[in-house]
Amino acid sequence: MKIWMKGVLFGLSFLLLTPAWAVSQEEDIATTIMLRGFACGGKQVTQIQQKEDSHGNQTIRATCPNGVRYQIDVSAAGQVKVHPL
Amino acid sequence: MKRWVICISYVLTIFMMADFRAFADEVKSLASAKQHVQKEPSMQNKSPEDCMPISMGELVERLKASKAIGFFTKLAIRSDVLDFQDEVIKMRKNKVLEVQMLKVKASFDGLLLKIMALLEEDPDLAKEIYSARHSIFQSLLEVKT
Repeated sequence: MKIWMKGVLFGLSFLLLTPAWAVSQEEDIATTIMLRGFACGGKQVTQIQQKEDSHGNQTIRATCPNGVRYQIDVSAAGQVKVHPL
Repeated sequence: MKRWVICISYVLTIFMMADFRAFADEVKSLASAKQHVQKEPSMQNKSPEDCMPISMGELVERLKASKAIGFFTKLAIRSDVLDFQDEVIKMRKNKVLEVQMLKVKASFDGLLLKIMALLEEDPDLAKEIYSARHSIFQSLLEVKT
């Protein structure tokens, strides 16, 4: 077997053995939106845009499976606010 | 044996291992959920003093380390807890905390329910938080600043 094939299979085996319940960013953002009482229509968001200003405040924009796009504001102090766009 | 046969059997073995692992996890979570359901009625009969006390620092560290909840979700929970504490402080300042205790308890129960639902994949931590709910409520009420 070629070396690169062995490498791919070795990597694949590690990928399959990682914890099945580790949360992805898509799921994490969808959960945050639903936790704030907004409908999302699924467990994963798409089209994630993330930016951070000079003060450490983060803005995340993502689209839910129901088509609604939300903005999540995370202040430098850790306060989370969600609103639909 | 040809090399491609070895390669395919290797990949199949890996997939089977992953399937067995997922199956084992499922069985484990079902068993712990059953155990939780069996234990719950006895917990309801106990007085608040009987419930297991837990260090808040340890609890926060375990929540931070839990892989069942993502980073932003953890921040959202933290925000909810801080909002709850602000509400308690405001009520205490206005001297209506005792009068509004039912409302405060309902608000805490809602928060606890959210955390329990989020910790579905970490049943051990969920169980410990549920057991220590009275201690957690008391420590949140004691915050004065």
